[in-house]
Amino acid sequence: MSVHYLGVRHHGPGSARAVAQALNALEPDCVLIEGPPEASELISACLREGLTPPVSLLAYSPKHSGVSSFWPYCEFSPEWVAMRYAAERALSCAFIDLPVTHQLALAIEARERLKRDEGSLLQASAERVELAGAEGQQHPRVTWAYELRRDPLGYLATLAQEGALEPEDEGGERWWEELIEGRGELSGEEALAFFDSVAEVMQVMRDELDEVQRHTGPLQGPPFAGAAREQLREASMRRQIKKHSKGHQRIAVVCGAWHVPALKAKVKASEDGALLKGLPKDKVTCLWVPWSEARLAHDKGYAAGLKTPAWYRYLWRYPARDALTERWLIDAVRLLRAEGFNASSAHVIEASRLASALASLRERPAPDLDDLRDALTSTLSLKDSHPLELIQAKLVSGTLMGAVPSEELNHPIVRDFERENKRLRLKLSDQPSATTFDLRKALHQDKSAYLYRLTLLNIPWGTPKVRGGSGLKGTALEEWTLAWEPEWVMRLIDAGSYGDSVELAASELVTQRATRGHGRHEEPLKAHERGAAGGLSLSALTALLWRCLRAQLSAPLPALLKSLGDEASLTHALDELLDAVPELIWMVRYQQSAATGLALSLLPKVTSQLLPRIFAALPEASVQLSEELTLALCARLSSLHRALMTSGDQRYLQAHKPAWRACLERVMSRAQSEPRVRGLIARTLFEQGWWSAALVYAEARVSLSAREEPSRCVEWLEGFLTGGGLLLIYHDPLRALIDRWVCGLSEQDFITLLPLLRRSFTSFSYEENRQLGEVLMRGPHLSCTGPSTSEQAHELLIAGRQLSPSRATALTHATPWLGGRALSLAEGVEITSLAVQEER
Amino acid sequence: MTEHPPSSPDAPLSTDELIRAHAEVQFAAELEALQAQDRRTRPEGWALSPWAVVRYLMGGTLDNGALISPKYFGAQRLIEVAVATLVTDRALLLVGVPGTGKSWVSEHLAAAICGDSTLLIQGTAGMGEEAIRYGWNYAELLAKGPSAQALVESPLMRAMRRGKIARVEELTRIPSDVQDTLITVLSEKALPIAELNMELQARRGFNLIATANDRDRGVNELSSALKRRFNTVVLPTPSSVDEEVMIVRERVSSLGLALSTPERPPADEDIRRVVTIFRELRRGLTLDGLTKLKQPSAVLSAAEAISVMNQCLALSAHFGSGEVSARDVASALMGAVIRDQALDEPIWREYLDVVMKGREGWGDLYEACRQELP
Repeated sequence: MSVHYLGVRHHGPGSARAVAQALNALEPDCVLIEGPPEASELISACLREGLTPPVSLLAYSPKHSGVSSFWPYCEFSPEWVAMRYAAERALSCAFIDLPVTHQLALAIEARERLKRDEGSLLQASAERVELAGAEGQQHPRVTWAYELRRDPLGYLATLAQEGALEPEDEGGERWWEELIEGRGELSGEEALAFFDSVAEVMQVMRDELDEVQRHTGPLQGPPFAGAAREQLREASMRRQIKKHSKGHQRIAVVCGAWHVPALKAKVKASEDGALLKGLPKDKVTCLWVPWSEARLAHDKGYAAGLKTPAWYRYLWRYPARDALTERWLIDAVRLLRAEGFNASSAHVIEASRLASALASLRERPAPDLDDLRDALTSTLSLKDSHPLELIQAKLVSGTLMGAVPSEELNHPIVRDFERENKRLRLKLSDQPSATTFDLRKALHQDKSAYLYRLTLLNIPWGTPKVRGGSGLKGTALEEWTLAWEPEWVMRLIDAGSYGDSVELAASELVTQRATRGHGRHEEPLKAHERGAAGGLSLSALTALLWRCLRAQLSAPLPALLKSLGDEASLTHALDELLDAVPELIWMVRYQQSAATGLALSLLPKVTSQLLPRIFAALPEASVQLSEELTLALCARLSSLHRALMTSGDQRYLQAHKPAWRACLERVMSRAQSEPRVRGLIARTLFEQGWWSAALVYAEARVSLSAREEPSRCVEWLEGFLTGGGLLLIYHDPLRALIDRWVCGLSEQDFITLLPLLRRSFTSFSYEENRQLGEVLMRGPHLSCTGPSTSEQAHELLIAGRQLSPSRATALTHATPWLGGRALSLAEGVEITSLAVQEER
Repeated sequence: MTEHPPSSPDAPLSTDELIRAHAEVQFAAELEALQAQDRRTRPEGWALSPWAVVRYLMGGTLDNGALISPKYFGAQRLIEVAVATLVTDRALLLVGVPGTGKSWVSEHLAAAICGDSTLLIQGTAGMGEEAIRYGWNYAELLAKGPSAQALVESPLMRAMRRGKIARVEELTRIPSDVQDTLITVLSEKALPIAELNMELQARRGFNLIATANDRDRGVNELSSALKRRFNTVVLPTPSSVDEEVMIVRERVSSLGLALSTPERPPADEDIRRVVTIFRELRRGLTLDGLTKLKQPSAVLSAAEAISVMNQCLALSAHFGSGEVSARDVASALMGAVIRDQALDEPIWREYLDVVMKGREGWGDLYEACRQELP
């Protein structure tokens, strides 16, 4: 029986090639790989059609949400090569790392501990600072030990080249790449010799570390943080190698090069046994999930990051360096050509010659990525960064997405997800793409609903483009941006605990959120997020209802509406009610054509319960408000009024209209109501035909009477003029009244109020202002106020220009009314002072 | 400084009498040292191996202890690409804003590769084809008709005949139709002489280095046919203050010798101040990135900073105490920054009051600058 250790660099194409050659030469009858043992039976799936790397093994705890581990592989991962070798020959093959059941349990424990010890974290960080301080005066060997543990290859590289490397972070990587990953085919013997020397050099480095730690005691700090876990893992690997060695002749072990010395070490089985005894356990499920090159490059979620996956793919696919250079440059030029750059085959030839010249100048055996990039930049004369970014994204980092057949994704909800994707013709890609759905088409409607369902499950695959306003109105077109993150498979599986399909899970989650405020596996609400009934607040419930309707989920509606009703009756916040009701009314309208319409027979009922509450509270709420709150209230009143009135075809609302009118009149009957609100309501009542012109005129006369404070008059006026000046153009008495009021102001008051007045008048459209100006010039009341003839108006303009260039002109242009008054006030001097006043 | 006996105006000048010697003369010792120990293969027609050329430009100590001064302060990558380009038979185009060292690099590359940096064509807006190809000795032409003797060779033609590097300065200033004369030379490596029904084919070792300025308005963009014959290397402005200070110091001390100003180098602090002012005005942003500034019309490159420091030296040596004072710096600075009185003066005033006034330790310079202003 013999055991051969193949120490590799994870995701190293050179290591992968060496593994392939070594396995061919060894012809082992058993292959053991560093990986999650629970997933051993998934190894044979690597041959399946449709399972294309990059893929990842996922192990998760079905009981504890959010606890999971990934083991990603690409086509050039040595582990992947070993798996395929064993599977093709039906050899005995297994993963031998520390069982995930322990790893996850340990992670959960650590998480719990972290939660418990949040207080002592401060202390821990203080200790760490102290430690860092102590590091300052260390023996150089100790400093090196840190360096060595942090980046063994970088350390080696420094030794090999006497620190002659460029001061770049990837110094070690570059050296290793040149020496190992970038070289072509090895013979079987060469490969075996290579693994022997790797083992040897790792042995030397680990000996050095042990030696240092014998003097200093166990070293602390970031590079050594995982030391305890590493011990467990290596003990477990030793134990499993021993277990598998029974009944096999030649065993090949593929593991990270760093572990080889530890696995070779003679350690008593009883010692390992003692170390591994009594570890916590957690239930574990393993499966294959798709992965992507972009994710590999991001270095998220697992340790062995990879900066240039696509470049490594080229290294793997084209072992002959000439072919690699050609192929990479051709692909780059084709890519740029597709983007509209002038790039020809001649450029490829020139770039490849330049790259070779560069490589020999830089004393490298063959052009590496830097040479190719430099050559391309120079021959194509690329000056801006866009083409280089493009090349970086596609040919260095890579955009390849892996795939896993749905039978392998052994979870009902994932299978449902795959089915739905196929049905709806949606493709997973982590490159953002924009698309438009036409909701009049059934398929598009389904797509939109599906994406909303996923969003409810915290999988924001699609992001709808938010148009201005509430997004409730508008066209039947929806614009979406789709971008998939491979790790969302995990969230999907999380969601699987709510139901076996996307629809069921989303329904259940919404129901739970509606009744308890949060899903079973979600964080409970914070105190300030809670509504009056203890669950979600009214606005949160309305938003949830809206998303639920968009997702075409009918099952959670009864629960949702019940909570909505409960919350509405308990809440004291009129603002929330005022915000919610228009939304609800729009929803009823929106849903009249949609599938969930039936369940929505309940919605009018809820709305009908809410409206009387508003009507009751409003008069009391319109007094004694700050300007800010008044403005907000006005906006809410307008939107509620619009919702009530434009939904005239809905029978349930008819009954509320008289109550609405009564409510508004009650606000008017209270003298203390804010003038702006009164103005707005007066206007509303008049436009609606509920008040006669005479009534409005009376109200205006009272509100603009001389005894009122001018500033309050202006507020009333502003409220009254919300929504345009058309009324003033066609309603002579009103215009005359306001005209008279403007003329009657004392000079001092006029100057003080001018900015406010201007604000309300300039909210009119240009056309309205023009017409208003004309009417005023013609009108009987104009003699006292403004320019009576067009010549006079023209003179005014000229005078304005002369006196205070742009400002007076703008004044007269924008509001002929005020301009007229300004002219009647004075011959020039005043206009200047007005301008000054305005500037202030 | 060594005194020389005055020589007659017509006698050939010695190197010391020149205002400025060619690179291959000034650095002859370094080139010799490199040649002596260069064991690497040299492309045909090259005086040095590509590796040694890069070393000559970037500086360093050779195995035999000879010291090579750095000629280019910047990324070695760029010089490597430039040299590698000349190894292949593509021509080299150096691009950058004025003062980034394009001509400087081009001169030294030519000096190191073929030992001759004088085969130079200066591009101008009014130049014709004969400046690139060949002209005629009209007396000869009229007397004997077209013949090889009547031909006046351009520097380019001489470079082709002898297998050397030709240099074209300010390529984009040359009218487009004249530029295109280069296409045949660069693609066929031959120059047809239709009048004599013959052609001149280039000897191995011939190549071309062109420089172009991408700041000037009214440049003549290269046709894509011509562009394809060039590899482009963009020379950037120095990446950090320290790098720029180093460049300025190095060049000022070496120029100081040539211009017979006293050999007392200006204080680092002064150089740093000038470089800081230039960098800030160039970027339109203070170094701390907090204050936005208006940019003056002049390109305030490292080369400008060098000439400002030289001017300071000259001012202090001939009119001052010999020690560079804030006044010297201020007057030199003003001359560099204010090119257009109406446009630049307000910008300079604003810079003084917004940035310089509040800066600690800059009080003397601020005062001096204020006094210089009318």
